Amino acid sequence: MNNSKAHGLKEQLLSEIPSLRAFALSLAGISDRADDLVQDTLVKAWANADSFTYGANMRAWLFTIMRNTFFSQYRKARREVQDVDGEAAARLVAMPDQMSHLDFTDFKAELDLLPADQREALVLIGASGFSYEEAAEICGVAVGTIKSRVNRARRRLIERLALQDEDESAPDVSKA
Amino acid sequence: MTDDSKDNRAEIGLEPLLQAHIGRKLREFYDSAVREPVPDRFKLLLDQLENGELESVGNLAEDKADPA
Repeated sequence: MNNSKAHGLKEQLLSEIPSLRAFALSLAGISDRADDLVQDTLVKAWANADSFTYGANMRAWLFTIMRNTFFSQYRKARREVQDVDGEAAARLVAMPDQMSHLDFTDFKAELDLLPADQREALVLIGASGFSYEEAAEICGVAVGTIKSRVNRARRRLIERLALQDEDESAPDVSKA
Repeated sequence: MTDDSKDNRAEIGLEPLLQAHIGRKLREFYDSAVREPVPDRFKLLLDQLENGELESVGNLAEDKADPA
C-alpha cells in the first residue's frame, strides 16, 4: 500500500469507527468486548484492504468483517458455555420489577435477550439504515431469511412489552 | 374491540404503536452509541497501521479469533 492510499484508508476507517462501535455494541453487548471487536475489525480491514472494491460500500464491507469475526468467536464461546439461553432467562427473571409501563427501562437489556442472529438483523434494518438486500449480503443469507429474523425479533420484543404491561399491577414475585 | 380480550390487545390495536415504539427505542440506543466520541486507542491503532508498525497483526488477529 503506498502512502497516500494508506492515508486515505486510514481516514475512511476513522470516519466509520462510530458506526462500527454501535454495531459492535449491538452484537457483543458488553462495551469492552465491543471495542475489542472494533479493534479486530480495523486490523483485519487493514490487512485485507486489497479485497475492498473501490467505490463499494465501505461500511457494508466493514460490517461484514465485523459480524464474521463476532460469529466465529461467538460459536466457539457457545460451545464452551452451553447454557446461554438459561443465563438469559435468569437475567430476565431478575429484572421485571425495574421495567415501567409500556416502556423499556433498559432497551439494551431487552435487545441482548434476543438470539444473536435476530438482533443482528433487527439492528441492520432498523437502526443502521441498510436495505434488506444489503443486510442479506452482509450476513451471507437470503433476503427472506433477514425478513423473517427481523419479524421474529420484533415479535419477541412486542411480547416482552405486552408482558411488562400485564405485570404492572401484578404482585412482584421476582424476588420470591 | 373492547379491551376485555386482554390476550388479543397487543395483537390488534396496540401492534402498530408497539412496532413504532420499538423502532424508536432501537434508533435511540444505536444513535447514542454512534454519537460516542472515538476513543484514542483507535486513533493510535490506525496511526500504527499507517506507519507499518503492526505489519504482522493481520495474521495475529486471525489467531486471536481462534483462542487455544
